[in-house]
Amino acid sequence: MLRYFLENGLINITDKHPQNWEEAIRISGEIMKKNNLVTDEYIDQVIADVKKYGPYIVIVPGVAMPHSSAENSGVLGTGIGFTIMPNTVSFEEGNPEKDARLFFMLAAKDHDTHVKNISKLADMLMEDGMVEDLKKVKNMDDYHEVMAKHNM
Amino acid sequence: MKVLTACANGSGTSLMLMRTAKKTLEKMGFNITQCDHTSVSEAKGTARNYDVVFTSLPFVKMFKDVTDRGGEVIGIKNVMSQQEVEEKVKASDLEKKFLNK
Repeated sequence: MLRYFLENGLINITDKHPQNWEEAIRISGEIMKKNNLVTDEYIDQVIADVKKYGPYIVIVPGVAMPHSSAENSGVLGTGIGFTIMPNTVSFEEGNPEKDARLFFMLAAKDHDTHVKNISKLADMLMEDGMVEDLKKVKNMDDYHEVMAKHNM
Repeated sequence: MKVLTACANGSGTSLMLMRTAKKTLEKMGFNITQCDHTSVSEAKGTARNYDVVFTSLPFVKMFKDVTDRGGEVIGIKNVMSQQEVEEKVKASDLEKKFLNK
């Protein structure tokens, strides 16, 4: 899966420091827009969903999976964009379990491909030490090192 | 056993949770005959066709109608944690109902 992000130009190790979760979601959308996977309309909806339902997109501490309905007209393609933030972003004040540094934005035009992508993402995140190793990534050299270490 | 997972829009978190739940339940010995993922709004209507609904913890309260009718709804905090799914399934009636434990 780490190779998937690399080969598809879907990895962004950003030096933009998001001031809040909303800004972080916008930054995580940049790599998606660059690849013509989503438009701002979708990103706006992702933010509106979090405001409505709470920070359920933080799937495990440290990891956010911003997404909204596959039917949103701002969804142009199918893919997962991976953004590593330079600082930790809080989604819920006083609750470190809802902090995130690794952002995986989803776009799901094609359901079958999306299901496969999610399975691969889940496998990757369940690897021992993977989340911790990825949080320390500051540049592409670090990224390649994590790829080599986990053989992914 | 028929399993449904639900989240806000039915395309991300519920899919992740479906994978975790299916793996865990099979490991525990349950026979899964059907496994689907959907949005919470859809799930409220279709839940009666399933033996258990797994959802992200904040959405449990939206299934009050289902639990009032005796439906099994299990809220999960960490949708990738097989350990949490196992603990919560053990705390439910599912093993008694489906594994005769």
